[in-house]
Amino acid sequence: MRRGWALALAVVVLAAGTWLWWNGRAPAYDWGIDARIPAPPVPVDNPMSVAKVELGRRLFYDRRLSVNGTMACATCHLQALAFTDGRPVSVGATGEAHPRGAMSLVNVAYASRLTWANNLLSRIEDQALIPLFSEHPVEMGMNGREDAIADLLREDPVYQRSVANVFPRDEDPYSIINAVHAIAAFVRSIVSFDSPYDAFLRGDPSALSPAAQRGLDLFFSERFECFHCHGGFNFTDSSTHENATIESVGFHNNGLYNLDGEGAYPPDSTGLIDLTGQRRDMGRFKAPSLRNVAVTAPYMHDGSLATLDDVLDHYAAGGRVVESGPLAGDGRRSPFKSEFVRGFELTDAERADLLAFLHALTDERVLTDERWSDPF
Amino acid sequence: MSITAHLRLLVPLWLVAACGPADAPFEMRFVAANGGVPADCAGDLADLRFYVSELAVVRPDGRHDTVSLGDNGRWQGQGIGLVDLEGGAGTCANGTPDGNDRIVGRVADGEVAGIAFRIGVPFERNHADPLLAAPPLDDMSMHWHWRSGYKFLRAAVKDGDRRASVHLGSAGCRGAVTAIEGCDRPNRVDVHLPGWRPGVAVAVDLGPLLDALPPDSGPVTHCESGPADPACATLLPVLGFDGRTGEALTEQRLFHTAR
Repeated sequence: MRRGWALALAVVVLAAGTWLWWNGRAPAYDWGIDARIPAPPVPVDNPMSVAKVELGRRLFYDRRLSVNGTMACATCHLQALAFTDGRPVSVGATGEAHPRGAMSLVNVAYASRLTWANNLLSRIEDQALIPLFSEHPVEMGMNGREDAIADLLREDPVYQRSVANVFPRDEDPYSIINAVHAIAAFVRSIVSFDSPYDAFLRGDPSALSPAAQRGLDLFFSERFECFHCHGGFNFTDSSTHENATIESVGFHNNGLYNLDGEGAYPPDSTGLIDLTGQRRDMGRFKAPSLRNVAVTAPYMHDGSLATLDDVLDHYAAGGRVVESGPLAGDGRRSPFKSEFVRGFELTDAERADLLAFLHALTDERVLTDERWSDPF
Repeated sequence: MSITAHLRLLVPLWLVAACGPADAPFEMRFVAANGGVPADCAGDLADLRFYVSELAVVRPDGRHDTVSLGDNGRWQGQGIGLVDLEGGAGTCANGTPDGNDRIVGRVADGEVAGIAFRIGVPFERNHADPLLAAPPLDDMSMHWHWRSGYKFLRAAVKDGDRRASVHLGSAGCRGAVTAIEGCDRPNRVDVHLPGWRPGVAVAVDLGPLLDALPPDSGPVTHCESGPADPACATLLPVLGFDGRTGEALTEQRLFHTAR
């Protein structure tokens, strides 16, 4: 009888051990989002873990990742501004102005393409190399200082432990690729669906004011056309998720410029044509997510529209007319303009309703949650 | 098996291939020039780095014999060499302090009537993840993160306040970074120098870039291989490409046999 119990105990212990081992092997990462929202895709070579995200958080906020110690990723991606920087265009460590503004990182894990106008970039791991190493313009300026990154990981006591712990199988874990993978994991972890609009969707009708509810209807109307480019759960048509079966990628010319009557954009930022060389791609940029849009001013790739009111005016007019100066031209008449930017009449009441809805996309949690805050 | 283990297996094969009966050491040296006179970072040179691949000596009968490049862990490997003629100082700000002015290897013994090589990284290696690449493809300053692929050539030269600068690499690529399917503008430059003989340097003369600038050009004319970039329409013909279509039409004008 005793031997029977011992055998049963052994079986239970073995089963429990196997269960623990199996789960310990690949613990599922908790994104902290509503179960009805699909998880973002994760590259197979860079699985998520709490420890990796925490390492990436520290690196994201570390100014030692710039040529002169003045700039971290977080310098242009401030949590309180939904990880944008409030400037029309961002400024690099050496003072050089970028032709475009810093994009929000909230839910960037769901972006099917990264940056303003790049049809090749889909992994944060690849994108992260641009701010770290680019030269035209210099952003963080680490070009030619690859060893300094590896040395930082190796010599800083916090990184030394953390890197060895997160990448235990690497012969030499103190590498740029591991730094980049950790930063990418942190950025990918910034997912949140906790705005008043989300609460409304979850069944709380009081989460949206009557004005915001009317604004929601206007936003998704054929009259205003907003949702064609800013649709879906992340308010952008360049969106994907773990279970996506088709790839959605969109680049659009919204009639901001027309320097030569043939649709030309200012030469320092021409859009997708910069990569493809195809004339039809002149002025085509990605429609950014509108989540937290009330805190991400100024707007457009070059920050040339200061307020959400200006943005509504722009789309109501069906493009922008620049009266004078080197950027003069009638963007409304650009041959490359999206068919959805046609202009519309907008009453003052409708304007107020649309603005109320756009403000209801602000997710206070993501702007303040300690998990994504400065650890230094 | 790890990549290193693969390499260990390959090394003996390479030795066997390289140590044929008529095998001889090969060396080709490069010097920077501007308008026929030597250029350096104390004056007019601002940048000069490039990848050399498909290197072959040309025999008197026109036959090409491939030069096999060894792997020295920094400047040469995978049949590709990186030449770096700037020193990171003076007018070459943003450069690297170390440098490499020559390509070495082994080739079948025999009379040499010229040299042929390509400025570029072969397509098969051009679009992989640079953070996993072996030398000489592990140099971040030679990689183009937003365009995908390497800068095959970085060349910049100054004339007083005017500066001409080219970053040459494949453009108009399709697919996704690390999974590129093809590029509309491969932008690899084939160099043929019929007059080259062992012991003679190859001059990289950046003068033609300055000569290509229109008189009213601003302080900086910088081409990033953008297919629609007017700066490239001005500067890429020096490398033999049609400024508008990007087609390789003529012989390049940067590399020639030093006199």
